[in-house]
Amino acid sequence: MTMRSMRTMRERLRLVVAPLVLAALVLAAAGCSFALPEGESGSIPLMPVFNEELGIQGVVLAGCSREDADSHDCSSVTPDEGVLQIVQARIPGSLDDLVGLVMESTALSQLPEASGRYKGSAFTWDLYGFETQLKDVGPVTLRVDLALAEDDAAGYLVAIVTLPDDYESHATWYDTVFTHVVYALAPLEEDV
Amino acid sequence: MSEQPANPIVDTLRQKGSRLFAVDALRGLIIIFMALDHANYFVAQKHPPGEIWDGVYPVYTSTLAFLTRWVTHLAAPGFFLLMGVGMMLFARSRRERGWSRWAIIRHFLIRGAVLVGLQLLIVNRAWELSPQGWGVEIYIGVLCALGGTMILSSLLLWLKPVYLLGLALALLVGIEFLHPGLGMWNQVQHDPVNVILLRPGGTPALYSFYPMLPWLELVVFGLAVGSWLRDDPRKAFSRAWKLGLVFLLAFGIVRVFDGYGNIRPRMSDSWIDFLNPVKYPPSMAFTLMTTGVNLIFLWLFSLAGERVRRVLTPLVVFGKTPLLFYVLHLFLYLGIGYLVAPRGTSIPIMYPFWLLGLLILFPLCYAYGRFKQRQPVGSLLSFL
Repeated sequence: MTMRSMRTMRERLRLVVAPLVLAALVLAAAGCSFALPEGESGSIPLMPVFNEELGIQGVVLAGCSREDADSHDCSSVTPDEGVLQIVQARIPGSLDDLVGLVMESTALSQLPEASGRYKGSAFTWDLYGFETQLKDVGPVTLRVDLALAEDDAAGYLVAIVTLPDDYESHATWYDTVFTHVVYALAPLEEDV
Repeated sequence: MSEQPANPIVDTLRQKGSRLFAVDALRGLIIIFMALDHANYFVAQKHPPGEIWDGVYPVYTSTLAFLTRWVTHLAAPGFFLLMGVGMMLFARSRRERGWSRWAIIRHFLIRGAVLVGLQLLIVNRAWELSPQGWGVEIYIGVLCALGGTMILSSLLLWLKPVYLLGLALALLVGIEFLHPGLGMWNQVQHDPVNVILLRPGGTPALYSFYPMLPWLELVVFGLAVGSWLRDDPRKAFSRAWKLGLVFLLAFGIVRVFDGYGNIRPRMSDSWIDFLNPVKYPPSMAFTLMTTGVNLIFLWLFSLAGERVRRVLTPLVVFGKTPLLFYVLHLFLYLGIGYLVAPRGTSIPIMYPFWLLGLLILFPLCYAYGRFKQRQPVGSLLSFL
């Protein structure tokens, strides 16, 4: 066997064995680590919803259960199994009528200043964020993110209702859900 | 310095080397991206669920989670494209060695059937052991679609590139017509023919992420690219980057208008949702985005000089043994996940385990590649 072929063989051997040895060491080291940080998933699964009763379509979190014509209970799929209600509604009439309904069901005397505007797939929404009590829930303070919009025939509402502490712990998560639910809400498309 | 006189034989060998290097290196690159995706699934357990045209779809709260997923989107379309390229290069080379058309078709029929068999008999066992649970009886995955499209496209190997391009374009534009609009999503039937051929989804008895027809367009396009590469590699690579840019521009236009070409409307106006088109089935936007990037990579790899090629050797090693890598890596990351992180890890912690998997697989792929190279042309291993 020539020196050259021996050198080639040694190189090949090194190429094959070195990564295996290194891998075995890393694997052994990993086996010794007891609790690896699990972290958050970084993604949220949403699913489409079609509400023929109200004539709207949009998205909610995958795994939510429908409670009423206009609301989904999503508590089982929040990061800490906190409280989360997603409300999506279309009310025939004007935006003022819709604001009146919001006032009726909350402890607010008037809506706070809008925190911003957001252009969704079908509407431009006014956004609000506040804490309040709901009339039919009892003396529990809730965090409400609200979006309102209108077209010629109706007012549209999206709200996510949660507990202030849940919201504080996972603000990015709740904001992402809210933004996407608002963006997607649109009048129900005719069958194509 | 005076230019060396042109030597047609040296030039041909150099072009052939560059052609095969670029194709293998790109295949190797997308293989390691694919491994990242499956490390994310088996080790981190952070793979986004769904991504299906009419069902659950992910939105992202973390840029790292999104980019970790996005980069892996290059893998599946890249495999179909490069399979088409490889089929054409193989067919043309075998024709020159005197193989009949039927012998070539038969070769691909057997290879396609082997891929389908591997999916159903071996690969699905890995998915069934998923830490998150599985719950599907028969799963039609990527190997089924690769095998099926290989069989279908073996009948197209003798079409001229212009006809292949026309067919690929017709499939790209046409497949979306066969997916009902948003208003009819809740009435879609997932019957077996649709699930296997056209629309992803299904039932616990039969589920598919990879129906054949929507992915066939990329194989057919790959046949055309393979034909160009065989005729004139330099011109083919030059076309690759130009087409890549055109594809990316077209992707931007399709996404901005957010209508036809997306299958499903954007989830919001954020940059992440802009770059997150429907993968199952590959919407026009998804195909343009990923194939645009893949073509530019193909061109970049063709420019590599000797030194860069040496640095990129691991990609070529993986790129030459894709099937072995595919089957092994699923079980490997499944094993690593069970061993070190039965409850998953954060995404940053998953990265070293992904690299660890590559380190383990490298010598195995290297040894298998050399072994395969030594086999005679008609060897059984040529089907793997």
